[in-house]
Amino acid sequence: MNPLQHPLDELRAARPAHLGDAPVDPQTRQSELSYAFAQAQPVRRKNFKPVWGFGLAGAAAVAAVAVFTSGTGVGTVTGGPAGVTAAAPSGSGSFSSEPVPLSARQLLLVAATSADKEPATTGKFWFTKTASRDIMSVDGDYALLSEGVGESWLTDGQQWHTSQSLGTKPATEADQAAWEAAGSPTTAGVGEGKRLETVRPAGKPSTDTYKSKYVYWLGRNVTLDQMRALPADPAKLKASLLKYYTGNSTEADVPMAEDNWLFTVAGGLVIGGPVSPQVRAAAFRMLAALPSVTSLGQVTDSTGRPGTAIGIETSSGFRSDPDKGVLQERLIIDEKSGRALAREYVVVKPGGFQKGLKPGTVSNSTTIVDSGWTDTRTS
Amino acid sequence: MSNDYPGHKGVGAVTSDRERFTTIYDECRQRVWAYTVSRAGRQVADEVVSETFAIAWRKFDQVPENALPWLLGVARNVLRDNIRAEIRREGLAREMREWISGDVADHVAERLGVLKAMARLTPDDREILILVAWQGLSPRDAARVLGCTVATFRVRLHRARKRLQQELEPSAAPMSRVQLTKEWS
Repeated sequence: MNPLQHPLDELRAARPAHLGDAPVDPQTRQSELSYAFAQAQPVRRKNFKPVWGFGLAGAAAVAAVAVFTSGTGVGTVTGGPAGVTAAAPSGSGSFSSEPVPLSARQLLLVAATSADKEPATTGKFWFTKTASRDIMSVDGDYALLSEGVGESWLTDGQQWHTSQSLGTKPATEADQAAWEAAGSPTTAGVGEGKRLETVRPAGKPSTDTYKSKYVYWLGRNVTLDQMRALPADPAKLKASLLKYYTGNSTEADVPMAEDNWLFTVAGGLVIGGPVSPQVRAAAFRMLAALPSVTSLGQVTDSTGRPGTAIGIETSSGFRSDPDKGVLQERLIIDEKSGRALAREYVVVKPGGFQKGLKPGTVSNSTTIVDSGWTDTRTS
Repeated sequence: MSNDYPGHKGVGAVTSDRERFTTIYDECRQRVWAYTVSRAGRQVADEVVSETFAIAWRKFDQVPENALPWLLGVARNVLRDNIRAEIRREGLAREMREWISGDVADHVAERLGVLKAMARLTPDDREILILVAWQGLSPRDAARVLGCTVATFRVRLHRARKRLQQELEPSAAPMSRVQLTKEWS
């Protein structure tokens, strides 16, 4: 052996191959994940603090989003599977300036055409700026809202993130009143003896970097090269994504319909994914062909931008959970710019993580404030 | 601060706790497995890993964003509490025999020499070196796994490294003196 070499360096190089980072075999992965998910549900993530990026989606929900303040049928979720069709045709239009709202299919095709016209750009980093809102119900029958903002830069093999909590407080005026009626407690129970702070000031921005060839998620972790290789043809894109569809949800062996799986995965692609506008257009066209996707009419995102929502119904919680609820996963699309503005989960039937929330509540939202290629990084 | 080992942060575009958990699983699972194998052999590793991630899901609100050290700490406790000592010893002895037989490593003499030296160390020394060299943990994170202070860990790392160095010297003890099945704490 080379006597000049540091023993730890030698040791690093000598790691037996079977202890290396080979991927786990799919069967073991499936069974270990489903075993884990069969355990009692976690209450909420640590300190109820949103994490950076798109992961802000903890579980939780806000009632006070513009779309739900309208008395028209547009965008209103009335609970139960039938209510979710909610496509706007019967809506009076008092909430929308368009007399005849587009179907989800038409809307997505318009968005695709707009995206196609957008010139493809390049840069060293894929930048996204996000805003998140999460709500969760606590003991005492009121809800807390937590907000956060984040920025991220991805490049081959590395990513940088800045995130900042904007604080926690009772979600609405009614929640505020309920909290005050309860004596304005500083913490509130969320079950299993866990407690959350009811009011938390905004935190300082924190930055971090993370090295891994996997920089994005498409139902599985993918590299930037794999993102670049996505086809700009809807049928080929669908086939390429579906290669990793097993009939189950992306996380465990819970059955998930193909449309739902594609909506989740392609939704992640159109909302801030490091792809060309043309691949985004293909994803819109692919979504347009999914029969289960419905239009929910005109809405505004959490930053006030107007857009049109499309959605698909999905179950919350677990197969084994008798209290399983129904959620509506939806994307807010700006069809004129060909961009997806936000992803939201709306409570249709309370249950699972959203047990204490009322139907129609946006249980969490992630809004893409900005995204694109850039050569500069401020984190 | 840069961390180049898995589980320090999730990957972008995670949309729920379950997806975030799955991301952590995908990033850390093999590391937890490798750690467990190096402590008690392959026979029990899957069982320990499975239990570790089940605990992680039950306590997901406690899992820090820097998940790997936390997971290794849980795996360490699962091993200690759920696997009988003689099973651990047998599994470890079998694993060490594989290391020194060269079956599992490249047949490069130097690498084999290091693995043989590692096999001659006590399980505690070996664990410390593995956390740093193979798991890529900082002293602070490795101290978290072992449940000791960073200062204590640095001292122990220094000693373990010195003993590894000694074992690497040509005059190192012959294999017959090795106590492969020494109990670990």
